[in-house]
Amino acid sequence: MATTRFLSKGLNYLALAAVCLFFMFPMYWMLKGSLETAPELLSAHLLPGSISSEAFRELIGQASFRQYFFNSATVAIASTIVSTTCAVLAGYGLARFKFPGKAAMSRGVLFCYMFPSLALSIPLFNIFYSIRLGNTLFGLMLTHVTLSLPFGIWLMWQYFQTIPSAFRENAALLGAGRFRTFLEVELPLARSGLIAVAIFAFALSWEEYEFAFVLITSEASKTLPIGMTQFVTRDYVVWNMIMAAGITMAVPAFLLISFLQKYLVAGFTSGGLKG
Amino acid sequence: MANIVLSGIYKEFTSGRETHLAVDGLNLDVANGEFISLVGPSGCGKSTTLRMIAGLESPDRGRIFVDGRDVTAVPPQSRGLSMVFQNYAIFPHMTVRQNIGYGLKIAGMARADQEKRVREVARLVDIENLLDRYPRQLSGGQRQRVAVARAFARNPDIILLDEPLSNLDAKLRDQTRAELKQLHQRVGHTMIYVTHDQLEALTLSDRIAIMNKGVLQQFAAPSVVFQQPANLFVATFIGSPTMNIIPATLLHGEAHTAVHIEGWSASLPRGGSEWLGPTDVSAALVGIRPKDITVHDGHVEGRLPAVVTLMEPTGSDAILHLDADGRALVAQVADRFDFEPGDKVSLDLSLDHLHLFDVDSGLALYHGRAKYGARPARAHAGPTMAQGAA
Repeated sequence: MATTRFLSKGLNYLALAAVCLFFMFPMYWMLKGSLETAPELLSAHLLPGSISSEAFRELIGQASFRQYFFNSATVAIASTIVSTTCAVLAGYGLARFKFPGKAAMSRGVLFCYMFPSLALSIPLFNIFYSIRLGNTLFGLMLTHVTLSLPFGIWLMWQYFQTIPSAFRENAALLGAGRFRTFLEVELPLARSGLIAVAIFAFALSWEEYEFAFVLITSEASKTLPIGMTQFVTRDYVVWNMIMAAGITMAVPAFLLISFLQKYLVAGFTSGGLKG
Repeated sequence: MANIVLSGIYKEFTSGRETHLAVDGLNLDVANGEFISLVGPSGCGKSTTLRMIAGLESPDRGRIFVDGRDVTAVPPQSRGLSMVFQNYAIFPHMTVRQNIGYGLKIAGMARADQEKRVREVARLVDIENLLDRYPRQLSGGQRQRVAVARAFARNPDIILLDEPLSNLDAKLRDQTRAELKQLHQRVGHTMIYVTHDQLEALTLSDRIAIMNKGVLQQFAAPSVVFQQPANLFVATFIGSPTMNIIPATLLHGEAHTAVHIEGWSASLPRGGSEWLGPTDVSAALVGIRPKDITVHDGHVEGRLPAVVTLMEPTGSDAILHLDADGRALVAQVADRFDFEPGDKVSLDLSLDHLHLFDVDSGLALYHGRAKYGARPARAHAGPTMAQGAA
C-alpha cells in the first residue's frame, strides 16, 4: 500500500517536472542567450560557456532602447489606470443599477470581448489618424484600453455580483451615501477583482505588438515589442540582444504577477473563471 | 426610542411573469421601547416587512410611521435605525474598532468621542479585547457581538434584527439570546426581531407578530399567543411539540356543548367568555397541546384509547407518539420513560386547555379557561355525547 502511494506520488512529481521543464525551457534559453556572447550563443550548447553581461550593458547603453522602455511603461501604466478605473465603474454600474438598455449593454460587453481584436486595427488606424491621434502614445494607450476594457468590465461586473448586498445595505443604514458605500465598502471588497483587471490590462499593453506596429511609425513613439525588431536586420540577427531585451521585458510582468498572484487567482475564480 | 406604525402595507415581488405577494395588508403598531418579534415560516413576509421598516424595500401600498413621521419614502440612512443582519455583514477589510465606529465616522463624530463610544458599546457586549482584530480572526459568536455593537453604537431609536442567532450553535444561541434580552432591558431601544424560531420569539419578546403567506395572523404577548391562538395556523406554529388537531362533532344543549371525537366525548360550558366564535356550528377541530394530555396505562372506559407507536425521551420528559383509532397524536409525559411501542394506553384531554377551531376558516371558536403558569386544573372526561346533548 505504502509502496503504491510512494510510486503514485513519484509519478505525479515526475509528470509535474516534465510539464515545468516544457514551459520553463524557453525562459531558460532566453536567459542563457542573454548572458552569452553572440558566437557562443550560436554554438547552441545546453549550458552557457561563459557568463557575460555584455548584451545587457549594450542594450541599456542604447538611448533608443531606454526610450522604448519608457514609452512601453508610460502606455502600459496609463492604459492600466484608465482601463481599471473604467472597468470598475462600468462593472459596478452593471451589477448594482437598473437602467434601460442594461441587458443590451451587458450583452454588448460580452460581444466586444469575443470580437477578433485584429479586425479593429484598420478602423482604429483610420479614426486615430483622422483625429490626429495616430502615431501618438495617447492613441496607442486608448487602443490598449479598447482591447482590455471589455474583459475588465465583464470581470468586475461578475465580481461585484459576488459581494453580498448586505454590506451595501448595512453601510446605507449606518448613514453612508451611495458613493461612499462604493468607495469605502464595496471597492475594498472587490480588491481581488480590481487587481486581476489591472494585471490583465498591464500585461496586455506591455506585450502588445500588432496595434503598436500598425499605429506607431515614428522612432520616438515606438514601444519595446516594436523596438526589439531593430535587432533583426536583413543581414544579421543579434540574438543575445533580442534575448536580453526579452528578459528586460519579462521582468516587470514577472514581478507584478509574482507579487499579486494570489489576488489574480482569487479575482479570476470569483469572476467565474478558473485561475 | 421610537414607536413604529405600519399601516396597510402591501408588497409584491415580480419575477418574470410570476407575481408573489410578500406582504398583504399588514397593520402593526410597535410601542416605544418594545421588543417585538416577527415570526413565521420561510416566505411568510417577515424579512420583507423588516426590510421595509429599514427602508431597504419600498412598500407598494401603505405607509410607515416612526414617531408619527411618515418615513415611507425616506432613505435608510435618514430613518435613524440600525440593523443586525443574518450574516452580520461585518466589513471584512475593517478591524472590529473600525466596524463599530463606521457609523460614528459617517456621522462626523470627533475621533476621541468615536473611540470613547466604541469602547462603551464594546464593553456592553464584552468584546473590548477584540477591537484590533479583523473579522476573519473572530469566532461566529464574536462576530455576532460585533454586529450588535455596531448596531448600538450610533444609539439609534430603533434596532432591527434579522435572524441574528441563526448562524450560531445551539449552546451559543441560548447564551446570546439571554444576553440580547438583558441588553434590551438595560438600554431600552425599540427592537424588532425577525426569526423563524418560535422559542426565540417566545422568550425574547414583549409581543409576537405571527405571519403566514404575507398575512398577520396574530399580534399579542407570548403567553396569549400560546394560550389563546387566534387560529389554527398560530395554534400549530407556536409550541413544540405541535398542538394535536382532531376533527370533532359538536352537539349543543342548553347549558353545555358536547364535543365528540371517535372514542371520546366531553362537555364544555356553553356561551361563556371562552367562546369566541359562533356557538352553533356542528363540526370543529379540537386542539390540544401534547403536555395537556394525561396518559394512563391500559384501556379505561371514558378515556380515549390509543396505542404507543414511538417514544422519544428528551431527558426530563418523554414525547409519546400515539395511534388513537387511526389518528396520530402526540403526548408529552413527565418522568416516565417505561413506555414501549405497542403499549395500550388511555388518554385524558384536559378540558381546561382545550381549543376549538372552525373547520373552514380555522379561526378559534373556544379556548379552555386555564392559563399556563396558574395552578393546573384537573383533567377529566365529561359526560358522554348523549348526556351532554340532553
